[in-house]
Amino acid sequence: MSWDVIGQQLWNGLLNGSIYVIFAAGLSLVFGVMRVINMAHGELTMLGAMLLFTVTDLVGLGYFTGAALVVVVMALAGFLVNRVTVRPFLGHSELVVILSTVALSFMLLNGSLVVWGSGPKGVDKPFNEIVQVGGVYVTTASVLLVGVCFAAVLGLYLMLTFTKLGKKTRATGQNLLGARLIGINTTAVYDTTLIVASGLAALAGVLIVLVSSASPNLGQPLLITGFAVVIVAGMGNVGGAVAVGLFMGVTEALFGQFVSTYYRQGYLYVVMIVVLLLRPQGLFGRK
Amino acid sequence: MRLRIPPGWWLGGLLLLLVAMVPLFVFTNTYNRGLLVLIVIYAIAGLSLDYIMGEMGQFSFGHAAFWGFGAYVSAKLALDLGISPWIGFLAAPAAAGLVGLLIGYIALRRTRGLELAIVTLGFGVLAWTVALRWRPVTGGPSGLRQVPPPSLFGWEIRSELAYFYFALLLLLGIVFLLSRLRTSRFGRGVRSIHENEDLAKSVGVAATKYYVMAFSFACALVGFSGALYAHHFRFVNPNLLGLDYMFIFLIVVLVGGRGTLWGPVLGSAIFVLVSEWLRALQEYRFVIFGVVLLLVVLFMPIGVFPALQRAVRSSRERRKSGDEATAEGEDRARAGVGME
Amino acid sequence: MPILETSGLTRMFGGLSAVDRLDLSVEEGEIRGLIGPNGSGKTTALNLITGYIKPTRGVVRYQSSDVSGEQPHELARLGLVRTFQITTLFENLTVRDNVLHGSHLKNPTSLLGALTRSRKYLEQSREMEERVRELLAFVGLAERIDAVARDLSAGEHRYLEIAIALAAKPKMLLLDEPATGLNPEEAAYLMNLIRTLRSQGVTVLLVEHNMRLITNICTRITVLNFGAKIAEGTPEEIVGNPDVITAYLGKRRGA
Repeated sequence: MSWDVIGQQLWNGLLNGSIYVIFAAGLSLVFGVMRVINMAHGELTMLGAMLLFTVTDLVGLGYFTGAALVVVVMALAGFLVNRVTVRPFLGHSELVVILSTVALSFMLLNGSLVVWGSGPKGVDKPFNEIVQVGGVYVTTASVLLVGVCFAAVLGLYLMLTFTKLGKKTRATGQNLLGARLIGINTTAVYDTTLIVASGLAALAGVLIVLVSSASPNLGQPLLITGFAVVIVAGMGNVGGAVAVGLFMGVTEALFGQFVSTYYRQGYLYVVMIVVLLLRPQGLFGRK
Repeated sequence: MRLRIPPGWWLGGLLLLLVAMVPLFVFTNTYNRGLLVLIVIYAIAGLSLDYIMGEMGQFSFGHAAFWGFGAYVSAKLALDLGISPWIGFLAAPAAAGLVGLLIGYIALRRTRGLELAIVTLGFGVLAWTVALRWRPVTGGPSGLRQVPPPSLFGWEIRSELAYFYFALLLLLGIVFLLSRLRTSRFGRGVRSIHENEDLAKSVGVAATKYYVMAFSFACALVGFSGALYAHHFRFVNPNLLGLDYMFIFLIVVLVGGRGTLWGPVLGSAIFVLVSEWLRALQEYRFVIFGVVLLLVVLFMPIGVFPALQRAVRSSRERRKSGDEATAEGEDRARAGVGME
Repeated sequence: MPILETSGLTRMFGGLSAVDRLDLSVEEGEIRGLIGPNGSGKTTALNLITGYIKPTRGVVRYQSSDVSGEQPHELARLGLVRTFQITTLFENLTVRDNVLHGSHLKNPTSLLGALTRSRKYLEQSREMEERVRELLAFVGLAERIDAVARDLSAGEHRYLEIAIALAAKPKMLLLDEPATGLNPEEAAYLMNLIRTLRSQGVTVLLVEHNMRLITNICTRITVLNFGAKIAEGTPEEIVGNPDVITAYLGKRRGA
């Protein structure tokens, strides 16, 4: 083994980790604000990737135009996700909301399999030169991916911390009734939360195709990874999800390189189990 | 002692009797009788998932993984060690129950509802990956074939008809067992945690222990259903642990009716028959099922069986108002059982 | 010898102590009142004693053994049973089933017996049914045995709660503001029930906001303010205690 190999895996891990970060941030945001586990989050990312394939390959838009279009459309679809599968069930048990989002994910997954087939679909990348940094090979497209992810996380952080909407969102997450009492329109907050979350999910989707291909099957594994990140970080802790997402991406890549490629996902699962056993509230969660 | 039959059993028993008659008159060819076996096996799996959803108010996303795990355990024992399927029928639930105990211990210690769903989802994918990759043991993507059927006094239960009646008998036994479990100390304990965990603890119910045990029990039951599948259809492969079956069991429970005992039996019959009817649509079927699932959750959250029960009850009430004197006594006798 | 004793019991939330070095000693057979203004830490103290939250510091001793940090269900097994401030029932079940579920610890039936409906099981079930009826008669809900819990009136809710707690056969019962939401007659009826319980040998710790309500049934009263004990004594002593008056009526004095 050489330092080059380790460096390469660190970079690969950073790539995956960046995706995990924006994926898990959306998942965690929805849970933190609404106490809802969105089982369809993975399929939203999948749809992002597949729609991008459709608009670039079949309609002929460029990558950037297509990606922007897809993210905006999917963000708006988040409104529908809230109104159809989440909102009617709030106030029922948590189980019912899980079931309705499961039904949605099942529909989206199988619908996509019918529309696009199960094979992987490549999307033309806007640029894809390979640059050697030290002994590590880096594609320009992957640099774009990491950059956009960090920008998105920064944007989310600024929104939650400094904007009025962000403050309302956090207040609602902390105390729904209290937020209503001081006049916050919590319905609008919930709509926005899912709009932001689906936008983030779709963004993950359009970025994934920069380093791999689009396929209707990419949602499920990502969902499990996302949950592992969210649980390890502490449910609903968006900041923790960012740190853990990166950590998981990097250590998973190292595990894949040095231990077993087949059981990479098993690694994340085992980390989740260990954390649940030792610190059930998650690394950044409060008891 | 007078034998009093609780209200749900009239409807459920009638349903089962109808199903039992079907192969004699309607489903006379082998293929269709195979569907009946499937109905029974899915019904058992659905009942066990409903134990988690209806009795515990929890959700397991890895239920198909336990089902497939049971199937693999029993198939493997029979193929490699020549162990009788009868022992497999015991070993499969034991193994699935043991893994369930472990998963339950991890996931049910703190927050209820969320962790279990997620940990079992992860377990499902992990189990599926192992089944796919660990070729020497699991046979990889093609799985294991030539799983032997069980035999009784030297006579193999091989034909669709024989296996159907065999499985139907077991199903009846399981429904019976589940109904009595509800009024046991354990069943009441589990129910009280579902209803109000803080209160249950205050009267001495060891909530975590009971939930872990209940989850393990449900896993054992579904593992048994998996073993039944393996010894009839005579193969196992990684698909058995996958999400498709998970959704099938979910449809069985939700369409039939959550927390109703007979609901999953009806749900299973509806699912298998409708799915067969839609067979020409191929993969569109699953899209339709997704839509149906969403519509059921949205518009008929109680499921078909309870809706049917209500209809029967209201028609009886209508009859009663016409002929009050006789019907009232009968109704009171039934209400006295207090188990629905 | 005290049946329940806390020493230095403390619980911090963030930087604030909700309960601050509480020393409490309840004798067997007492009806002890635990009073204080809103937010004085009464419910937190009760949650600490019954294991629903863990103390930051301090010890809870029950029947002379250290039970700090024990799970609520373990304490219930030892005879330490509580009710909740906000009425807490098995809402979807009948009154009968509520009490049956509450009888968990006193349910002698075995799993095998329940599955086979053995003669013994049926015998035991009859005895349980008998006990349920007795308990319901005791709290005055005999007529409502088949009603669904959520259909009961506010008063009936409270009585049923007590019946559920009694089904666990407590040696010591901790009641968290049981009279909240009751009209004066209902409250009087409830206080009578509590008195009867004491005569049957149950020790009672009664958390209450309304001082007037409990002065005539408690043997001793402990007063909390800002999480700390500010007074303790017989009802007469407490009523005349200037610190207590300040804590309760501070505004009037200051005005």
